[in-house]
Amino acid sequence: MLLAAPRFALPETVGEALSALAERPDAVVVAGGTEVMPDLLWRVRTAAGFVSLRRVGALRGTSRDGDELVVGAGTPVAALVDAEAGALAAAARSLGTPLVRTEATIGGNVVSALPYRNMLPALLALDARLELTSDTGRRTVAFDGFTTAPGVTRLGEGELLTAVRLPTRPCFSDYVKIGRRNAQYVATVSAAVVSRNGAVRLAFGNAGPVPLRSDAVDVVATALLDGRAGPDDLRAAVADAVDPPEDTVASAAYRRHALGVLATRLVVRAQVDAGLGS
Amino acid sequence: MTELLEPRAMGQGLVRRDGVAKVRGTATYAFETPAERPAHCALVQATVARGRVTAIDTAAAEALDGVLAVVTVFTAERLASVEDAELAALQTAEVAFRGQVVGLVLAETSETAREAADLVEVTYDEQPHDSELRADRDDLYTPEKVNPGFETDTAEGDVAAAMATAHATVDHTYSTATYHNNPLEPHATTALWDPAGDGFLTLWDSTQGVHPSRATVCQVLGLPQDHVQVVAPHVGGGFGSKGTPHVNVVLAAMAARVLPGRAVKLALTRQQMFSLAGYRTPTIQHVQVAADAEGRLSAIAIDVVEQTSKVKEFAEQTGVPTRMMYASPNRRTTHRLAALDLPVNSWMRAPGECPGMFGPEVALDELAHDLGIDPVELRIRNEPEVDPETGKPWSSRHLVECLREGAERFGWTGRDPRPGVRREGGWLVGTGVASSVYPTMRMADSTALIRFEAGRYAVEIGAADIGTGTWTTLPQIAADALDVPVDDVEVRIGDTRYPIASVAGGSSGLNTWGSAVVEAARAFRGEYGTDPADGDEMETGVDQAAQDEDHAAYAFGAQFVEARVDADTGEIRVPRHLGVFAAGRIVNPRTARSQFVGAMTMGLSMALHENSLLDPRSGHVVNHDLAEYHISVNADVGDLQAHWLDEHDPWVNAMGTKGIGEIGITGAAAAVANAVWHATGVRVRDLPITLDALLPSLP
Repeated sequence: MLLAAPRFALPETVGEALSALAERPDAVVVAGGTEVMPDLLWRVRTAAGFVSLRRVGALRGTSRDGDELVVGAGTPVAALVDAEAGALAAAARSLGTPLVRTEATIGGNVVSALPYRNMLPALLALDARLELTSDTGRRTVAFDGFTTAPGVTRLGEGELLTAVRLPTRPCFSDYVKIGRRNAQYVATVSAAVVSRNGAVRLAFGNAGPVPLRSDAVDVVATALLDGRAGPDDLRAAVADAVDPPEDTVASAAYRRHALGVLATRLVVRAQVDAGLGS
Repeated sequence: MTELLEPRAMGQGLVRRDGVAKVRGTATYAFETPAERPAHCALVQATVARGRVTAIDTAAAEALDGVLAVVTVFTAERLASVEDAELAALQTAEVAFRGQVVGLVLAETSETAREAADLVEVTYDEQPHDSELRADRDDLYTPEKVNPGFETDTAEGDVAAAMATAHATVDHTYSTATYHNNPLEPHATTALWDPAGDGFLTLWDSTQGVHPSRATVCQVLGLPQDHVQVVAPHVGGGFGSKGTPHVNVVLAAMAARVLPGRAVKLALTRQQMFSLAGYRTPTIQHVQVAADAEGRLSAIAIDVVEQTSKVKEFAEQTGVPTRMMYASPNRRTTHRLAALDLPVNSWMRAPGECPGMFGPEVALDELAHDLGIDPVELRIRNEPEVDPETGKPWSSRHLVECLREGAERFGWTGRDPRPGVRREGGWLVGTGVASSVYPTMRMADSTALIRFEAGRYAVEIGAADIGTGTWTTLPQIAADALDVPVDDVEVRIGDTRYPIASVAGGSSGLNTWGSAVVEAARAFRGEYGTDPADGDEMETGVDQAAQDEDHAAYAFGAQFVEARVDADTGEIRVPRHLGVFAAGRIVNPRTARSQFVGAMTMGLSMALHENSLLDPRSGHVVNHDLAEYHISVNADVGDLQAHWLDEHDPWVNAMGTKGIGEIGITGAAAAVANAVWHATGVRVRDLPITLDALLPSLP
């Protein structure tokens, strides 16, 4: 049977979840199930067992901790569509359908770690930190570098992603994606921006095997913001920095070009926000 | 000429009689048919594209708790007829395409059935397969006929000579992609084999026609018609893919015969629909057009290359609309097929007209630009007085009026013909037009019964409502034919217990069933007058002898599209899409609009989104789910309008209807492609139009 009881755990606390995971080291952790369940039905994934986080109430919801916003890893994407950080809100709003957004969680988006996932460029641009919890305690790591390959992260064995922490210092941030449809599509490419105190930080989705950002790009983006560089300079810097995939949806060349366009658009929006442009 | 019914109920936008049940979820679809302790069926599919099954190990599957039976190509009952190879389920170990069914599992639950199906181990002797359609293949062949019986090739005059001497010519190759029908409701059946006596089979099936479906099942299984009942009160879309029974229906019946007395449920998964439920062939269309300086055509030709499955020939009649659409002394149409190791292609909304109104309608746009003639005007200048193909007069033809009214409503007048010069913000803006056409058909077989019951009129006919509105529109016709208020009419459809009805296909449903209802109503009144006794009844078939053969009968239309293309990314938006149709009498404006705008959206989807991607290495459509097979979503549709002319056609049938289910998809993709060209100056001749096809050449 697909869901034989001994292989399926439905913990209600983080502690129970960690125990369940310890008992089933090969289990797949399921939150909203919007990726795992289709995979199972389509037989592109098998699992030795499941630990469902659906009933772990402590993983849902947002709170403030000093100058950080703490978003529980089990918080559904639908709860973020009006987030204060524009990039987070825009990425949440354009993810899937209302039904998917209601089920899909921010933690699932992070741990699934596919380069086209909506939330990832937003989190990277916002310089998010991840709270990882295990039997032995809790550690906090930067999201930058957390993903090491498509679908692969630095999450340790027996460890759960329990929260995403975002700086609340005022900034302008936004997110854009391109696809063939006008809604309900995986990003052909995507980008997010954070502009704070005259410095720009950009991040890109489906621009390489992992969510991608580059100091070199940000230097040019910052220069574009205050008029020391032109759009072509930023496009060239982005083209140098990214390594996008080629598939049936779009060519690598198209993606490279479009990423430059998105970067420029986002910096222009940041300019307008800062009263520097029109 | 037919005496047209006086419209009273007809023409009213009555709400759907089944609407409340559907919205509340109480309308019963095939899979949901109540059954006590039903067994569930799951399919085992071939994982090679060609070869032979050498062994099947079912031990692990059979050992699974809850598994009731496993049937394979080696153990299945022998069918009475294997003439239709698509339907010869489990009759051979030969694998003709990837995804072919080689076994089935019956279990207590659907989860167990699927799990067990996964555990069935199939060993193959795999052979090389051939699944690539190319126009330069040296083994293309000429089918005897094209669907459903048209001549394969036609020629009149000398196209080559006209091309050589014309003032202007267009000579290009256009292509359409592979498309899968993808109705929302998957193909599903609840089947019950009653062991009493000789056996009686009931199929609650998602079908476009209960009687045609029964006839096929009876032939394949060797059963008498009165031993089989097919029931389909509600169908969640078909688009042709439920117009003929596919192998799933035969498999459901076979599965039921394994478990006599117990209902068996079989629903194809979305992924299985991509290999078992039909699809539209990709087409390669070489189009030639020649004209004088005023735009009058001297030649029009289309040479089509497309595919068929090796298992069963289906030759889509892609060249057919070119035969009758415009006046031209020199004309040629040809069809050539590549027979491939692929699943069986079949009907999909407007087979023939849908792909066949892409290449030629884009070619006309190219000709209009080359000649400096407005594309609306170019079409008007080539309006034929009679059907160019047969020489018959039109039953009615109002293409010119559709073009003019559409141009007026759309604001076409004064359009700047230059491509790629209008910018609004970062968007390049353009508009395009194309014509639509669909033949008016009426099937030979349909009978209606009218009975006076407790002061009301019951109309019984095995018609289908595949979302088109038959539950609502057939009473409107019956009410007018009987000259009673529509509330006094109850219809009973979707069941072979009622008199025989033709398939809901070829946009012929209401034309045919309505004709039968009118005949029955007239006979009823003739027999019983206006004051019948309770229980008086009359059963009459559609009067095929009265079918007009002296006129060419078609519905026509014109579609106008505004496209916006992002100058930096090539992203395409269609903020406006307007169609005007001349499709005979519209029985119910509410349900009619739904069909028109639905089909237009499907055409938009064909232009920009839908594309079944075949991996020729595996013979497999890789994007076989709705996450990756993109269909236009609500956010892709802007201001979408369907209008129609008040057209009276005395030749087609007693209602004056022409059928409206398919015409809206024809020409729609061409109108989008023409608008994208006008916006950007980039002529994309291969569908779908993608961002990266546009980007390198954007101004």
